[in-house]
Amino acid sequence: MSTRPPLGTEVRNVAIVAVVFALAPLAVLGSSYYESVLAHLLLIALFAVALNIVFGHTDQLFLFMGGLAGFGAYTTALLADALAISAWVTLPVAALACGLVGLLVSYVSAKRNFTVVLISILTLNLQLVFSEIFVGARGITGGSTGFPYEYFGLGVVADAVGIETKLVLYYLVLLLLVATLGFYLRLVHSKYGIAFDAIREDEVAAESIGIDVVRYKTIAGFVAAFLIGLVGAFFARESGYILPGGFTFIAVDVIVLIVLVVGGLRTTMGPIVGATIIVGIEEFLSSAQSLQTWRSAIFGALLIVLFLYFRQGVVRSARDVLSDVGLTDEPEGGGTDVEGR
Amino acid sequence: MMIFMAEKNLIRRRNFVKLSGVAGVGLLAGCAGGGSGTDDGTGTTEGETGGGGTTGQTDSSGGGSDESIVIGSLQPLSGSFTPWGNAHRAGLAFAVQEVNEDGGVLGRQLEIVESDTQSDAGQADTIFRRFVEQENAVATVGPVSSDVGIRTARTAQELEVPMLLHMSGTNQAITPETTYTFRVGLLPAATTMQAQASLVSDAGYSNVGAIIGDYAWGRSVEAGIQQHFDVDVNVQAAPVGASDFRSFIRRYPQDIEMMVATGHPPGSLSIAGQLNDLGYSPEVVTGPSFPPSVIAGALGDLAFEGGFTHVHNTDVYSDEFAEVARRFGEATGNQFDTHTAYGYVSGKMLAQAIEDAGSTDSTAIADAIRNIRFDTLFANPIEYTENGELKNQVQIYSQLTSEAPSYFPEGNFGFEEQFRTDALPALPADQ
Amino acid sequence: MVTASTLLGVAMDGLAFGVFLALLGVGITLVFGLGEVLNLAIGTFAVLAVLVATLVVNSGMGLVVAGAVALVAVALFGLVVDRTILSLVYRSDGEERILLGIFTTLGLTVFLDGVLINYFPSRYTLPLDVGTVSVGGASLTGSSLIIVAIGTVVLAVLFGFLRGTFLGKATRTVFQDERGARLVGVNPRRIRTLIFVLSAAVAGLGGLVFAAGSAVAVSNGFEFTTFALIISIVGGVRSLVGAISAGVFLGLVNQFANFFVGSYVATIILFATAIVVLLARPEAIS
Repeated sequence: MSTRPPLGTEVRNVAIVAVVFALAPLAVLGSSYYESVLAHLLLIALFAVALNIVFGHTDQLFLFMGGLAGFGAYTTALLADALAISAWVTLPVAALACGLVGLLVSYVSAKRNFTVVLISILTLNLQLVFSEIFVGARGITGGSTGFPYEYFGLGVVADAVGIETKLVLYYLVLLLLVATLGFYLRLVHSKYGIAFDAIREDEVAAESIGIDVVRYKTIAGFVAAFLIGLVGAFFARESGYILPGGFTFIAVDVIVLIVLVVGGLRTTMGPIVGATIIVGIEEFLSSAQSLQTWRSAIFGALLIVLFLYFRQGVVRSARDVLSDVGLTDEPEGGGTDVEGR
Repeated sequence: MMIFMAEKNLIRRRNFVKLSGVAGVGLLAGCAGGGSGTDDGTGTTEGETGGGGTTGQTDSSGGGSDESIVIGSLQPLSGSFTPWGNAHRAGLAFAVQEVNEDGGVLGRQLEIVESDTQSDAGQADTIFRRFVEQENAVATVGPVSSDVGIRTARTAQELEVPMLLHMSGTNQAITPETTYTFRVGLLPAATTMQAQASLVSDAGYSNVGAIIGDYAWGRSVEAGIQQHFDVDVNVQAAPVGASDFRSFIRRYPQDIEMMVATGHPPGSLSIAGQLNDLGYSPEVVTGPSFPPSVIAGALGDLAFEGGFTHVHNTDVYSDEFAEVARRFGEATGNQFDTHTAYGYVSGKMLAQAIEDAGSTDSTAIADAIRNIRFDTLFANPIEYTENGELKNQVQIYSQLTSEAPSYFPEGNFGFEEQFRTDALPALPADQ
Repeated sequence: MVTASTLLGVAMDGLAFGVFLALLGVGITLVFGLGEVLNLAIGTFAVLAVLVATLVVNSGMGLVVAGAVALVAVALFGLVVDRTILSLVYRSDGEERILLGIFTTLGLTVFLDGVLINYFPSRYTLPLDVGTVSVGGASLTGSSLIIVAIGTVVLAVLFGFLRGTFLGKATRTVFQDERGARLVGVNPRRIRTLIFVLSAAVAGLGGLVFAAGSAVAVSNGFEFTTFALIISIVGGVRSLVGAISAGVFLGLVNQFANFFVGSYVATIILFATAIVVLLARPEAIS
C-alpha cells in the first residue's frame, strides 16, 4: 500500500542530507546572518517532520505548533531559572509536558471520533489561548517584551572547540534533525507505518481488522508534540531572545504547513526540501527591495496555488520525473496519490 | 478514475489560467502601483521613484565614483505601527536626497536600504544583521515599537553599529550597557511622564486617568506616572492590540479632567473616540507621539476640538521647520509633519556625524553622534549622554487645528501649541 | 464603584459587540452549513467593507451611502472569490473539500491581508457621532443603540428570507438533500454562490458595525475570523439561530468579563468556551 522507497534508499538520502548540511556552514563562515538562516532552515524542517508524523500520517491537523513550541521554550527557560539548574535538565521535562498536551488532544479527538476539521479548529483555538497567555502573563513570561535566551551553555563548548556559539547551535540542531529523521524512518518502516496508512485509508476498516486507532493516533500526537516542544527551545535559542511574537499561528504554523506541503506530505525528504525552497524564497523576498511589502501577499498566493494544484509536493514530483526518465531504482507506482492528499 | 483525469485536467487548466490571470494582474497592479496611494496624506512613497522600496535617486552617477555609504532603515511597514514607518521613511528619504544633492558625505553619496520589520523584534534583529553584513550599512535608523527597540539595541551593541531610534520610548531601550543606541523622536517614558506631571500641576487637575498598553512602553509610562505624578491616577492596562476600551473607560468618573493615552499608542485614537462616544469630555487627552495626519484623518473634528493632544520634540513653530516643510511640500506634494521630521533629522544628523567622524567606521560614527551638538528642527540642539539618552530637550504638546499651515496650504491640519516644557534633564541610564 | 447604570451601559456595549459577533458568526455559518467550506477569510471581508466605506467617506459622501457602497463592493468581491477559488474547491467532496476549503481560504486571507496593508496601512473608523442617550441615569452610547437596531433588523430579514421565501427554502433543501433539490429544479451551484455572496455582505456589515466604535486595521482580519469561528462553534456550526444566540451571549459575557476581570482573561474565556463546547458537542460539526 505504501509507495515509499525502500529503507536502504531512504537512509542513504538522509546520510547525504546530513553531509551536505554539515558542510554548508563552511560556505558562509563569518556571516552570522547566513549562519542564522541555515539554522532557521533546519529548525523549520524539524517542525515539518513533526507535522508530517501527526498530519501527514495520521490526519491530525495540529494548528498549534507555535503554541507548543513556545510552551516548550518558555517552560525550559523558566524552570531552569526558577530551580537554578541547567536548561539541559529542564528541556526534556518541558518537551514531555508538550508531549502530554499533544497526547491529550489526540486521545480526546480519537476517542470522540473527531474529523480533521474538528481537530484543526480545536488546536487553532488552543494556539490562540497559548498566544494570549504568553503575552498576558507578563509577570512570568515577560510579556511582549520577552527576555534574553542564552541557555544550554553553548558558550562553554564554543570556547573549548574554538568555534562560534552560533555554529555549535547549528550542529546541535543538525544532529537533532538527523536523529529525528532516523526515528521517523524507523517509525514509518515499521508496523506503525502500516497502521498509520490503514488508519488514513479508512479508520473504520482499520479498527475492524484489529488496529487500535486511538492508540496509534495518540502515539503520533504525543511524538509530534514532544518534538515540537523540544525544537521550540532551540528555536528560541537560535534567536538569542524569546518573544511571544515568535510563536504565533502566522509565524510558525502557516510557514511549516506550506513547507511540508511544498516538500511533500509523507515523504522523508519533503520537510528538508520544502524548508530549503521556502527559506530560499524568503531570503529572495527580503533582499528584493521593491517586493518587501508584498511578502505576505506572495506567501498567501503560494498557499492557495499549492493546495489547489500542487498538493503532492516537490519530492513526489521529482520522483515521478526521475522514474519517467528512468533514472531511479525505485519501484513502479512510486508516483502520485491520485487524491493528492 | 483514469478516464476522468484527462477531462479534469483540461478543466483544471482553464481554471488555473483564470485564477493565475487574476492573481497575476493583481500582483502586477500592486507592484506597479508601488504601494503609493495611501490616503493618510503624510509623507508616503509618492514623491519617490522606484516604488515601494529603495530610494533610487540616491544612487551613484552624482558625486563620487566611490561606493555609496549605506544607511539601514528598519521600518514598521505593516502592523500597528505602520503610520510611523511611513512618515519616517519619507522624511529620511528627503534628507538623504538633499544631502546627496549637496555633494554627499565625505565625497560619497548616501544610500538607504529599507526593510519591513513588521514591528517584530526577531525580524528586526535579522534584518539589522543583514543590513550590516550584506549591505555594509554603517548605521541604522527607524525602530518604533519599544519591543523592537529593546531587541535591536542589543543587536547594535553586539555589531557595534550605531542606531537612531525613531520612537521606542521604553526606559529599557537604553541601559548602562548600551553605547550604540540613540533616541531621536521620543523622550523616554519617565521623562515624558515628568513633562505631563508638570502639565497636570500647572493646570491644577486632580481627576486624571491613564490607559496603557501592556508592553514595554506602556509599563514604562505606568512607572513614570507613579514616579512623577502628584495626583492619584487610576492606571489601567489594556492589551496592545485592543481596540475596544469602553469597559476601561467606564471605570472612570464622568468628570475626569485629563486622560493619559500616551501609554497606548496603537489604541490612543480609539480611546479618544470612545471617550467622546461615552460622553466623557476631559480637557486634555494626551496621545502618544502619533503621526498627526492619522490623528486628523481618524478623529476628524474631534481632533480639532481638542480631543487629542499631540506630543512631539519637533518644533513645528520655528522658521527652520517651515522652511524645510515648504521644500518638502514642493518636492513631494505631501505635508511635512513632526514624524517626517524625525526621519529627516535622523538622516541629516547621520550625515553630519559621518563628516565629523571623517570615516565610515561604525564605531567612529557612534562616537561622533555621542559628541554631537546638532542644531536642527528641535527646540534645542540635539545632545546625547554617554548611553544615548537625549539631553536638554524640550517636549511640546500641541493640538491640531483645521487650519492648514502657511508652508502647506493644501493640508488638512495645522498645529496649535498648548504646552512646552523646560529643557528636560536626561534620564540616567540605570533607570 | 459599580452602579446599576454602569452595568446597564456595559450590557448595552455587550449587546452591540454581540451583534457584531452574531453577524460574523452568521457569515461563517451560512457558508459552512451549506457549502461545507470553512471560510477563514471572512474576517478580511469584514475589514474590506470598512476600508471601502472609509474611501467613500473620504471622497465626501455620507456614512449611509458609504455603508451601502461598501456592502455592494464586498458582495461583488465575494462573487469573484466564489467564481474562481471556490469553484475549484467544490470539485472535491466531503472531507477533502473541507480541508481544501480551509487551506485555500487561509491562503486567501494571508494574501489579501498582504495586499491590503500596502494600500491601507493605517487604522480606520466610521464614527457615528451620535453622542449619548440617557436611560434612567445610565449613559448609553448612541452608537451601541443604533448598532443593535441595525443588527436586529438585518438578522430578522435574513431569517425571514431563509424561512419564508422560495429561494430561502431552496437553500436549506440544498443542504439537506442535494439530489432532491436538483430534482425540484434548484441549482445547487447557484445557491451556493448566493449564500457566499450573502455571507460576505453580512460579514461586511459586521465590520462596519465594529468600526462605528473602534479603529479597524488590516491586521484585525484574522482576529475577526477567529471570533467568527468561535461563535460558529458555540452556536452549533450549522444553525443560524445558534450563531445569533451564541454571538449575543458571548458578546455580553466578553464585555462583562472585560469590565470585571480584564482583557486577557476575557479573551481566554472566549476561546475556552469554544474549546469546551467543541469537546462536549463535536457531533454538531461532523
